[in-house]
Amino acid sequence: MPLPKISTPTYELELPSTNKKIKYRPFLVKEEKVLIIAMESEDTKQITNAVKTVIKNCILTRGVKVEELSTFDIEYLFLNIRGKSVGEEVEVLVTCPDDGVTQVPVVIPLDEIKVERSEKHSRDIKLDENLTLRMKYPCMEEFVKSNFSLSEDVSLQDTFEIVSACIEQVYNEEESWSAKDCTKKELADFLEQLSSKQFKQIEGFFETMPKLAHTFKVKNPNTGVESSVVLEGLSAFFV
Amino acid sequence: MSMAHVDLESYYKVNFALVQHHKYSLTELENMIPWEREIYLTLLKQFIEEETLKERARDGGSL
Repeated sequence: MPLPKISTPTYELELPSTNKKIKYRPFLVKEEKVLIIAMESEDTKQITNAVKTVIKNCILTRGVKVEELSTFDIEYLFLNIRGKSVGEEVEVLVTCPDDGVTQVPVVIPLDEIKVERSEKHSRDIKLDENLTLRMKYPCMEEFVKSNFSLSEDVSLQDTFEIVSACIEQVYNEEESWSAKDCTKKELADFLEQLSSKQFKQIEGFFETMPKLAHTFKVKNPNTGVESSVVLEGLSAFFV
Repeated sequence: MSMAHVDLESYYKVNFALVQHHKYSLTELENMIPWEREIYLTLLKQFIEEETLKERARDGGSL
């Protein structure tokens, strides 16, 4: 007996980080169930794992490792998969910025949400005249650890761990040191040597990292004031 | 969060009704795309409403 044919439509998108085209399919009702169960648990770690599982199932292109994709790739992918599965519009309740109280429902077309890049952003951080630090984007695991750990407080230790996980290499004109070849302790020791100014530059890398963003205007029905609102990050579109 | 468009309670209630009263199987339902299931639900609601109207018209005519 031949294997059954998959009857779901397939779509294509470009991964924001690499511009590589990948094929995907919408999620199915049984996969949506996994998401609903996770969401009703209100455990953000469970939600992230559910999102990861669904994305893995829906990517049809071989060789794409969800664990290694950057957080903004994952968010963009999920947004597109959800659009093709449920509907390409979401209604969000936006708090009008002029009074900070009035909430207005706004319909957002998911296909208009793009990954925004800052011109100031660079993966290369010049530490001094000699050394440059090349960063890589946090992936799913770092995203889960940093955003969804059970304790609410992110300790200094956690921050150091995230930063060291995002170091790709340190280099100068003659030599380069890959983070892959270093132990956690070596990376931590290297980070501890940095001055506060150098650490600020690293913070800048995370702050200016590409992110999902959508800007639109909203009019407060009570005051008549029109203001511009920016929604950033996946969760902003599903509150 | 509303990443999914239904809650768990209505998900199971609707699935139960579709399986129990409208001959769908759970496998069929779970392998649909969510918007597809929504379309079948809308069509089914329309069908039931039309049938109810027809029935009322018949009952009214026979009185």
